Amino acid sequence: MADETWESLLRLLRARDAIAWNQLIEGEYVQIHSYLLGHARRRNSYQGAPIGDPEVQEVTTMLTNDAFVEAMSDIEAFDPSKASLPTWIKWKGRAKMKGLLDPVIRFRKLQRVDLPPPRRADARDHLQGTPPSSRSAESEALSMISTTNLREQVMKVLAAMPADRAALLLRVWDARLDGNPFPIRSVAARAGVSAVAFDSRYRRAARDFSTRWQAAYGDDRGIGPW
Amino acid sequence: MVMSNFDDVELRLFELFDAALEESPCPPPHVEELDDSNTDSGVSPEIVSMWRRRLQAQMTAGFEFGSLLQLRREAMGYSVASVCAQAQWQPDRLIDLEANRLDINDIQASSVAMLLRALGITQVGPIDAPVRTYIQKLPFVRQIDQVPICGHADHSVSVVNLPAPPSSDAERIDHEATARVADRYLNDLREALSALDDVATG
Repeated sequence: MADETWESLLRLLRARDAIAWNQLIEGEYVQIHSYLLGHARRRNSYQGAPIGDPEVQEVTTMLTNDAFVEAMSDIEAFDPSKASLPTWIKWKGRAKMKGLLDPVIRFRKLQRVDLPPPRRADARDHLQGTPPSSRSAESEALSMISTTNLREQVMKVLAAMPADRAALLLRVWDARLDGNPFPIRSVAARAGVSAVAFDSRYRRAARDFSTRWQAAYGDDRGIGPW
Repeated sequence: MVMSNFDDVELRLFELFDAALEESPCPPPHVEELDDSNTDSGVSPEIVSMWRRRLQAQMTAGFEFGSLLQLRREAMGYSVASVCAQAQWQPDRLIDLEANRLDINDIQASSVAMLLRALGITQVGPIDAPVRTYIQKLPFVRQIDQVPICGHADHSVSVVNLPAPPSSDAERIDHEATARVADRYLNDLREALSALDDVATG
């Protein structure tokens, strides 16, 4: 965006001015789409590429569009002191992969290995993009509350950590989430650092998180010393 | 306290991250550092532009061009008079445009460019779809009915085999002509905005 940065548009974006959202899309779409496409491709690739690239692109376009539309409706929740708006939108798209892309990958993988056709329930789950669930509404609500609490706890510990250590930990987790079998080696290569040096920094970051987590919430999650 | 193996702890740590962060609508702290986007995805820029334009059209769907400009002006907190003073427009013409009553064919692209600039719009992309829809309302982009000539020379034509008149206005729109007119107008608008940009930057 030459003239219109997201910062200069923020007031209008918060007012849900459609032209302002289109100005943001004009400037940021390519970068956000490309970021999500990279993740989607890696995720597909590490699963043996069961879906072809045109379909990965199609699903990524859906994810990108959903992320922008959701960002528009949730714009009050955006806090510029925590992340930039493009990062916030990218994260929204990223968070949707589990529900939108992963079921397609799983479904295609099943088809490719010539397993018996999926049960009716599985096919429906694939279309709806949700895993099979027989839980009651009450237990779903409880689980949502506990996820929210957990999220707040993890975010608090990460926020208290030095930025470089938290970022390093998140970067490895991010690569692992894509299904990368060698996340440390791959992240180290991308950062231009030797894998051994990176591993040592990574272990320090993990120890830092573990110590802070235990001090704040105890050892019930098994993130103890080693 | 029992000492654990690092691999086990790492596994549990990532399980914790999966549960807490994988579907989180907000990025965790320091995630900005993760942002290593490479904009060259290998997909043709024309295709990505087409996807972008579709999303932009979706964002403005259901709004007419004039109404969008009115919403923009109000969101910026400007009055009709202040925008008109800046864009050198007549207030009644702006009111007509905002009410979608003004024929865009009667306004020069350079004049619309000045209005857009006064409203902080410096590119054509964000208003591409609503301008195209607005242009569809122009009478000359509608199809002229192809009525066969009935006369003494052509004995095959009778009242019975005359084509049925179009049932709705939508059917009468000549989409190719509309696209041509829209492309031309948007191109003029792009050039006018760029000229204003050159003037502004000296």
